[in-house]
Amino acid sequence: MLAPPLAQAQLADEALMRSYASGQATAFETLYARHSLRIWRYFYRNTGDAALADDLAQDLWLAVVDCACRYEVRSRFTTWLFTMAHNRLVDHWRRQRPGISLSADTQESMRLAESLFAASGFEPEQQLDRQLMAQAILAALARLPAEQRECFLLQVEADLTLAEIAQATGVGEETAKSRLRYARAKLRAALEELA
Amino acid sequence: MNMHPENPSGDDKPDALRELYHEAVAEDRGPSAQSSAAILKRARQRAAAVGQEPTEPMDKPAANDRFWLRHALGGLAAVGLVGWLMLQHAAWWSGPDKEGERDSRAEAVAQPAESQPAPAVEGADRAAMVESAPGAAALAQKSTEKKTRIQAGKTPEAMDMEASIAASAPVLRPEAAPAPGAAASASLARSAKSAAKAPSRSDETTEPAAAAEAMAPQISRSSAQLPLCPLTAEVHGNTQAAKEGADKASGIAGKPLDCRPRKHGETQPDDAKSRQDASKYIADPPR
Repeated sequence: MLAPPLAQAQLADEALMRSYASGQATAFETLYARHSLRIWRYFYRNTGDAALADDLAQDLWLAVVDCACRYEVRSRFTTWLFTMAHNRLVDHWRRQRPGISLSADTQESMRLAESLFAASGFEPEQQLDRQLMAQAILAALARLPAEQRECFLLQVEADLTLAEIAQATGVGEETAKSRLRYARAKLRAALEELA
Repeated sequence: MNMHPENPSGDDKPDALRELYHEAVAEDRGPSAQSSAAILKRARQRAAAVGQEPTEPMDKPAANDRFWLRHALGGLAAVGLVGWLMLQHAAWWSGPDKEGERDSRAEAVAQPAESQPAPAVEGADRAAMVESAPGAAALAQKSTEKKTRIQAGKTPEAMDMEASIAASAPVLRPEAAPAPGAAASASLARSAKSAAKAPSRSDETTEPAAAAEAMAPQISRSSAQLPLCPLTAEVHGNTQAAKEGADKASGIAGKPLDCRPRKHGETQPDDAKSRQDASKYIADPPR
C-alpha cells in the first residue's frame, strides 16, 4: 500500500529508501526531490561541466535504483549517497587524468593555506557586494585542488560531518579536517584579494 | 561539540562561507529534465518489478562470499577420502589375496589339463610324476599349502560349498563338452553344484548314509589327485589314523580335502631333497 506523499515527505531518508526497496515508487520520487539538486551541484562544482554533471548524476541515481534491494542502514543515507558520488567522481578523474594523486596535497598549496589561515579575521560580507562575492567564491572554488574542493562541497552540499566526510572520501579524519581547513582558508583568501 | 569546522578557531560564529556559497549557487539550473525523467522512469519500472516478483531472500550470499573456497576444500577432502580408501583397499588386497589369485590361476591352468580325456592322474601315476619332477611337486605342494591357509580363513559355509563343488565337478566333467577355459569350468561347476545340491538335500533328510556312500567314489577319485598328507601321522606308523583323519577332513564331513592319505606301503618319494623339504616343512611350517 502506498503511503501518502505528505507522510512520505516527513519520513527520514533511510525509511524512504526501505519503502522504495519494498516496491513503493513514490518513496524514490521523494528522495530524488530532496537530493537531486545537491548531487547535481556536487558534480557540477567539482567538474565545472553541466552536461557531465548530468551524466554523472544520472549514473549515480540509476545505481541507487539498482542497489535499493541491497540497501542496509549502516550510516546516514546522505553519507551513503555522497560516498557513491565520490566514487563516481574519482572514476571520472582517473579516466580524465590517470596520473593524478588523490591523496597527497601539494606543498605549495599547504604553505599558502597556512599563511592564509594565519591571517584570519577577514569578513567578506561586510566589505563587498554579495553578488560579486558569490561569483568570486565560485571562481575560487573552481581553482581549489580537487580534494579540498570535494571536502568543502561535501560539507556545504551534503551537510556531512568531518567523520562522514572522511568516510565518504576514504581518508582519515585528520586528513579530511586539514583539507577542509585549507579549502576554507583559500576561499577566504580569494575573497580578500577581491576586496 | 562542533563537528563542522566552519571556523578554524572553533567558535560558533555563523558560517559566512557556507551562506555565501548557497547564495552563489541558488540560481543553478540543476539536473536536466530529460535526465530526471529517465531516472524516475527507471525507478518506477524497478518498483513495479519488485511489486510483482517475490522479494529476494535476505540470506542471499554476498558478492564477495568465498563460497568457491568451501567448494574447493570440500572437493579436495572428498578426493582425499576416496584415495585413502582405495589405498587401504589395495593394501588389504595386496596381502593374502595375491597368493590366492596366484593359486586360482594355477587352478585355472590345471583344470583344463584335468578336463581333457587324457589319462587320468591316479595316485601311483602322480607319485611317479612327482618322482620324475620334484620341482613341480614342490610347487604343487606349496600351492596346496597356500590354498589350505586361505581356506582356513573362510567361513564354514563357504568351505562346504567349495567342498561340494570339488566333489561333484570331476563326476560331471566327462559329460561336459571339452571346454578348456577356466570360465567354462567354473560355469560347469556351478551347474553341477545346482544340479547336485537338490538331491543331496533330500538325501540328507532321508538317508544320510546313502548320500555318503554315493559321494565316496567321487571323493576317492578327487582325493587321488591331491598331494600326500604330511608325514606327521605316518612317521609314527599310524597310517590308519592318518587315513581316518583325512576321511574326516574330506567331503563326507563337509570339509575341504587338503591331502590324501597314503596307501599301504606308499612312502614319500625317495628323494633326498624332497625329504629335506618335508622335514623342513614339518619343523617350520610356513605361516
